[in-house]
Amino acid sequence: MTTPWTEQERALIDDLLDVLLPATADGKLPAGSAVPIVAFFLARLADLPEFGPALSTVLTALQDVLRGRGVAALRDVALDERAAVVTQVEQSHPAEFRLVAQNAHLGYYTEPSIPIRFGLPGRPPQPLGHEVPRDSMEALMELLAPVIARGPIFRDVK
Amino acid sequence: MSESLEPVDVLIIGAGASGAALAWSLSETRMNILCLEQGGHTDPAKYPSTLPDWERHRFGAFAANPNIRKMPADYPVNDADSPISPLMFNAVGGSTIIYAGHFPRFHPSDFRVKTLDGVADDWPINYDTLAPFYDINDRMMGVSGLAGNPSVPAHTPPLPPIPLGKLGHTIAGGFNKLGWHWWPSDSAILSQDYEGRAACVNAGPCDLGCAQGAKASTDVTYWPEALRRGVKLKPNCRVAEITVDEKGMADGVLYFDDKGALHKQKAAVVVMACNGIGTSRLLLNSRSAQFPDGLANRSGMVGKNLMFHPVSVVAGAFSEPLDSHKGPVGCSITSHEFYETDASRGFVRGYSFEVLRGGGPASAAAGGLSDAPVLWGQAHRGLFAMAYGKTAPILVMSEDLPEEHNRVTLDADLKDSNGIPAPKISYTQSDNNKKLLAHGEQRAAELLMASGAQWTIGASTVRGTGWHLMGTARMGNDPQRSVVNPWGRSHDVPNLFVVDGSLFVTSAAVNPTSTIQALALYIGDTMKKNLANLFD
Repeated sequence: MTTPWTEQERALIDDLLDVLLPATADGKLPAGSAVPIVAFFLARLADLPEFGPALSTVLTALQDVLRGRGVAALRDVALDERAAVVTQVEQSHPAEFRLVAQNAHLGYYTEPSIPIRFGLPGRPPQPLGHEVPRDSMEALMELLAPVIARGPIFRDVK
Repeated sequence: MSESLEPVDVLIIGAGASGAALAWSLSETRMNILCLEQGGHTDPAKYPSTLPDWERHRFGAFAANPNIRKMPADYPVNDADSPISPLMFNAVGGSTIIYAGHFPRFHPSDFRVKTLDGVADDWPINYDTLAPFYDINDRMMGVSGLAGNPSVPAHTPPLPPIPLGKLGHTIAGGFNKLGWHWWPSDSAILSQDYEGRAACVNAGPCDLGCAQGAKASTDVTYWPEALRRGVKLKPNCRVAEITVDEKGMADGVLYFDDKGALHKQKAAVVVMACNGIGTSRLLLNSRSAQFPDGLANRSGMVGKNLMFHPVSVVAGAFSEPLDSHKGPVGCSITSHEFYETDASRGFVRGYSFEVLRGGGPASAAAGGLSDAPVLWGQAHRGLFAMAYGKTAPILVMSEDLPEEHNRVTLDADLKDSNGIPAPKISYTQSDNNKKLLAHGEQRAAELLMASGAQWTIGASTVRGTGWHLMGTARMGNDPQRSVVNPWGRSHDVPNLFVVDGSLFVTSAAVNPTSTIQALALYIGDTMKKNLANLFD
C-alpha cells in the first residue's frame, strides 16, 4: 500500500495503534495494527482535512517524547511504559490526539470482522434489521397502570 | 444571469420538514407552486446503514454537522462563539433525512410561558390552534404511539407504538419504582406497513437515513403527494437573495444552480422554509435600499432569540445485555415528569427525558455525542467489555428560553461555495438552563440506578446536539418585537412568509419537528382561507 508516510512514520503509526487498541487478554480482539486502520486513515486524509495535520502533530510530538527518552521507536520503550509516553502526547496536544484516537476507534470498530467477535451480526443494519418482540397491548397497559392512575400532569391552559 | 420566463404564484425556499408540509397544503389550490432546494435527492439504497462500514459515515459524509460533512449542498456555520454546534442536513427532505423521528407535541403551557411563569413571551396562538394540524401531520407522516399519554392533551396516533425492547422495559421499571411519568414515544416511524411504506425493521441508526422508508422523512411522505398534485421541485438550487420591487414587496429570488449559474425566479409569494439558521441568514443577506438591515428586519429581530435545546446525556451500565442496538435509536420511552415549572426546583420551565437506545460499537468507542476525551488503551478495553450493549442512555432535553443576545448574524469572512456570506452563531447558555440541566442529570442518574444500573456516567451540555434551531424570526402581534404575524406573514413584507422553526416564540422542551410541521400546515390553511386578500 502506498502511503504519504515515511517507513519510520508508518511504523510509529502501527506502534501507536497497538497502544491505543491493545489486543485483549482473551485473544478475542486483535491489536490495532492487525486491523486495516491505516487504510481508513488514508481515506480520512481525503475526506477530513483536519485529520492529516492532527496526525502529523501527534506523530511529531510522539517522536519528540521518544527522542527525550533516547529511543528511536515506541516499540523500543518497555511495554508497560508505552502508555505513559502516549499520555504525554495526549496531554500536550489534546485536540489533535482526540481526533487521532477517535479515528483509530472508528477504523477499528467499523472493520466488519471486528463486531462479529463480540456477538454482533457481521452485516450492515439494513435491510435485515433486528428482531424486537412487539409489546402486547395488555402487557403495556399493565406496565403503564401507575402512570395512568396519576391522571393528567400537564397544565391545561388556553 | 438568466431570468425565468414563467413567474410562479408561490415560491418555497427549502424542501425539508416545513417546506414539504406547506407545499402539500397549498397543492390543493390551483396555484403554480415551485420549491427551490439547495440540496439534491438522496438515494435510500445508498444510505450508510446499508453499508458494511456504516458507522464511519456518521463522522464524514453523513455527519449531522455541516462543518464536518462539507458536502456541496452545505454551507459552513461559524459556531466558534457557541458551546453547541448547529446540526442540519441539506437535501430534499432536509434534516428529516437524518432526524431520529422522535415526534412529541408541545404542552398547552408552552404557548403561555409569560402568563404562567413570568418569563419570555406568550405565543400569539395556542395549543388548540395547532391541534387539528398536529392530527393531519400525524396521519401524513405516519406516527406510531399510544393514545392516553397523561402529559399532553388527548390524541390518537394512527399506528401502535414502536416496541420498547429490553432496554425500554428495563427503564420503564425504574420509572415505576420512582413513581415518575413515562410513556412510549410518539415516533414518526412506522410500527406497521402504512400508505405504501414498509414498517420499521428495528435496524437502529435512523440518523443515517432510513433505507427502509419506515422513518417519516418528507421525501417519502409529503413530497410524493405534493409532486403528484402538481408542485414543482428544483433540487440543487441555492437561493442567494430575495429581491424586492419598488413598493417593498418580494418579487422573487436570485439563485445559483448546481453549475454555479445565477438565475432570477419571479414569484408573487415567497415562503421561507430554510430552518432557524438558514432563514435568518437569507433574510440578512437580502439587503436593499428599502431594507438596509436585511429583509423583513425593520424590528431588528431577525436572527435574534436563537434557541437550541441544550442536552445532557447520562448513561447507565447494567450487568446484563440490553440488546440496546436493536430498535430506532431515538424512539423508545419519553418522560415529562419534570416538564412543567415547579418553583421549588430553583429554576423556571423544565425538561423531558428521552430514553435512547445504544449506538453502534464505533460510535460508542469514539465517544458518542460527547466531546470528552476519548478513552484508549486498557481503560478503553476494560470499559468497552464491561459496558457495550449493556448501556442505557438517557437524554435530558431542556427548554431554552429566548434571549436576544443569542443570535445569528453574517460572518464577515466565511462564505459558502457560491460566495454567499455564511452565518455566525453567538450563543451563551443561561444560568437557568444550567440549573435545569444539572437537575435533569441528577434525576436521570437516579432513574438509571432505580432501573438496576451498576453505575452511571454523564456528559453535560453536549456540543454536538444542536439539532433544533428555533426562534430567529419569531411570530407575534407586535411588529416591534416580532418578525412575522400570528400566521407567518412578515410584518414588513406582506407577501413574504416564514414556516420553519424560526417562528418559535419559545422552544418548549421537546423535539420541534411535529410542531414545525403543524405550524406550516396551519399557515398553509390560513393562506388558503385568505387568498382573496392575502396581502391586506
